[in-house]
Amino acid sequence: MPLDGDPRMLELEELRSLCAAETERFFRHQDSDARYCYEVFRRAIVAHDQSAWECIYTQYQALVLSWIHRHGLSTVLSEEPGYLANRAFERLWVGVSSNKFANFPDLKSILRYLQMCVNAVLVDAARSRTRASLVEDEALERSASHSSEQRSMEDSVLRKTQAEQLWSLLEERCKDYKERCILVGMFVNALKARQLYAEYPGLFQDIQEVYRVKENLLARLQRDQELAAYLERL
Amino acid sequence: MGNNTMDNIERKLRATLYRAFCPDSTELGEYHLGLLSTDRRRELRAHLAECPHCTNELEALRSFMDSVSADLAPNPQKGQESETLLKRLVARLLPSSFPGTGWSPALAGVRGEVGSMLSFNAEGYHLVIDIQQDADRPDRRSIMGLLTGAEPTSAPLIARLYQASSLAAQSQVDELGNFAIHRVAPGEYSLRLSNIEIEIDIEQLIIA
Ligand SMILES: [Zn+2]
Repeated sequence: MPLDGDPRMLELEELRSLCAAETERFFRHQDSDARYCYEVFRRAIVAHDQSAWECIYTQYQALVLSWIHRHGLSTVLSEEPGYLANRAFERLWVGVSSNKFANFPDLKSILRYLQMCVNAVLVDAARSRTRASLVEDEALERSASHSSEQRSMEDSVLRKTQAEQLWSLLEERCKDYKERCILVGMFVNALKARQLYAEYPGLFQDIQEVYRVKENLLARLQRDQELAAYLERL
Repeated sequence: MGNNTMDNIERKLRATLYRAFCPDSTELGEYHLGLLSTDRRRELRAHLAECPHCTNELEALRSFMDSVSADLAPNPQKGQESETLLKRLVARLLPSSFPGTGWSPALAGVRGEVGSMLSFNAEGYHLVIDIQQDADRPDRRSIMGLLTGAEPTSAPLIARLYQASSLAAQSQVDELGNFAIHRVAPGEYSLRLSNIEIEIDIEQLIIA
């Protein structure tokens, strides 16, 4: 095993084949040297070498796909695995940019981040779907499967701002801790009354009380002119 | 304004607020990997205490990462990776923690009442656990921990609270050795602080 050659001195072609060979050794449980693959990542990320990117994609695409297939959410989502793999690589490029590369001292830490990105892409697809079905918004349902990363970022910034404004209006109108729990439980976390009752053991006497506090709160909010005007604009 | 029926209000509140304060999934992942700043980590910890969705996602992330961890490349230092041995330490309660005479940890387990401060030793490590009433949930407890001593380990430690061998809650130990686990229901637990190199166990911890 060529442990002594400095990977930084090697041509990309040479690195590519050493990275492939060492990866193979790793999966055969033989001693392997991760420095060549790490150097490919370094060139792609720090030196912005497009060929190194392509090399990474070729080397790791199958592994990323295998992670997608082994993820519990992959069976419930309809997105193409290839599409999800591309999104995961995109997140890696953003998350491990050249100014953050120092946080990733070895290949293991980069691949761990890539595994995390696979999870994040699947979780986001699942989140969008849940959200779309909750708000019964067809446009959202469509964007859940086809939106670009950029578009969904813009959506989420706008949603966050609206939510923060609405939340501060609501918080001012809460009479007590129970009402706040109703707001958090029913609207932020979308729990059913039964789940909410279980989530805050001892807070409500019974499920009827959960309904009662909620009805009273909503009735009061409904009579509130300022809030009504805000909700109309949403 | 006629549009603001009770149902409509409910629908609008849910559409606007549903998970609006959740961190995005990449950030939640970076939290798990210990890549966030101390301030942001603290904010996420507070969010997790109130969000069952993110708590579930974090737990699912942890088990996914566990399930694919064997695919990770070894560390660059040759030979070291295959011989890395997990060092397992069992933390012992220090006598100064016993609240009064006649206390028998061997029989009763280590019992933490609200306000109690428990000190443990595990070889070079010293662990202090402070049980407090949870700030958001009066019926629950917060476990505040501080781990000191020994040399720093290469990967962040995770404090995990188990009940009848299933995971009840977890939290990352920060660079200064602090960790906090919130919203713990009274009951019998074991607490484990671990990373790939080391595991420190409190085998029985009763939260009163
Ligand atoms: Zn959340």
